[in-house]
Amino acid sequence: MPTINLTDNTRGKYHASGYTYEQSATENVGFSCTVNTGSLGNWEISTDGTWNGIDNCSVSATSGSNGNTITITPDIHASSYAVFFRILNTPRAALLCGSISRASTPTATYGLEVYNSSGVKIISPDSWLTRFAASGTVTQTINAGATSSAINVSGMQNNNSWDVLISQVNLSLTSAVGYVVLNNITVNKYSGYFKITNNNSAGTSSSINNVNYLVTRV
Amino acid sequence: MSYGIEIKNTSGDIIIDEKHANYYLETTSHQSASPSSTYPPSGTSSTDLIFARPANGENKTVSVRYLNTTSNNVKWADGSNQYPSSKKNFAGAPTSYKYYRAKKYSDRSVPSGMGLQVFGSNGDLYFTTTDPNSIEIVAAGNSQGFGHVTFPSTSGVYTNLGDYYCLMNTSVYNTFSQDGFGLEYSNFYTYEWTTSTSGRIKVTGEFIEGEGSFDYHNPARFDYMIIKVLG
Repeated sequence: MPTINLTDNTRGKYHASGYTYEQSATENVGFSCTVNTGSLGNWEISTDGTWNGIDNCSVSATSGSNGNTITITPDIHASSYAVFFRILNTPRAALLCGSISRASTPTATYGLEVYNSSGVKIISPDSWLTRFAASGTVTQTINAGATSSAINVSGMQNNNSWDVLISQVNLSLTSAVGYVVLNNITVNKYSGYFKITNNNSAGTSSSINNVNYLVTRV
Repeated sequence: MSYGIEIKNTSGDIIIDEKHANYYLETTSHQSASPSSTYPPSGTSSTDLIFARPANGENKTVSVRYLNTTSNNVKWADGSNQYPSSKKNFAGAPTSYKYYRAKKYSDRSVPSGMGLQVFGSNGDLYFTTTDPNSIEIVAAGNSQGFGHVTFPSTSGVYTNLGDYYCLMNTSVYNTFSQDGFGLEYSNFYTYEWTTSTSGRIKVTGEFIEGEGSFDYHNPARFDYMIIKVLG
């Protein structure tokens, strides 16, 4: 059981990075960890809107006190998970992250297998493939801090089986001292569509336009 | 479903159906690109996927880089800018990128021969067993919350690291210097080959803001995919 240590006052240090959890045969088994805050107060998992403090997993609690134990269950449709712990009004924070490997040996005992013309097995019940869903260009200008209108994708759902790949972002800079954090862009998925948010700071000539997108399913 | 075909894996994911075209590898062997050469390669369509790795045996980082802020001047990363640097856990650019371009089956003509073929309801080819090699995903997902993560989570699974390639379509890093303020802003989206630890691939998504050794490190959003080439 890992311990998330929030007592170190080294600024910006991620104490618990790198803990890994191996996917089991039953695939959805969680693991427990203890959150240590010493005498500094209660901890919480960040939900401050900058990014989701619970990524590709679920947790049994989002706040607690020193020594509390929580259970983290990774999402089997993704391959990584992360949980961001912090103590309010202090610089103390910790990032717990890890990966879950797809089964290294086949687990299925029945189902379809397909071999190609070279005799190589290319499909089995344990296979995971990517498929094309949609592509296009968002021509509207998205100003700093603004969100695009809906980009429709038939059948889309807000889950990890849908990926929206963003590329070739055209920038609109009018000032020599302006700057744009190019991929400081958030894609939010909904039922049947997605939206793009430009998270760059206002007042820095950081609008974006002509964003190319490619939607795939896994 | 009222008609058609669906093939699901043991996790319940649909891997073949008549609604979405699968991807195939355009060439039977990988192609090469030099660091700082133009990305994506000539002839790439907006619906193509690019998968890359370092040259054989190199423990290096693969990424693509936007060279300036005013145009789409995108190159295969050469590591010459300040970020990423070795002190930021960047292993440096490979001597040569090895890559495959994957295209939709619906982009090609229907091959002859025997085997299984699946067509979409529009009559386009969506899958065929004719090709000599194929793609299998070994890791995929998106993250907004980690500094780096390593695949596989235990060593010894990737027995031949040269068979594994990473999706480059959203693998970008960029650096902006803001004169007068002395600050630099950088996003890292990279994959690093770590053969020294029994064949693993480290995925990094990180946003850095700072100057010199005084940096803020924050997690950045990253869509990643690692594939194994079969055949």
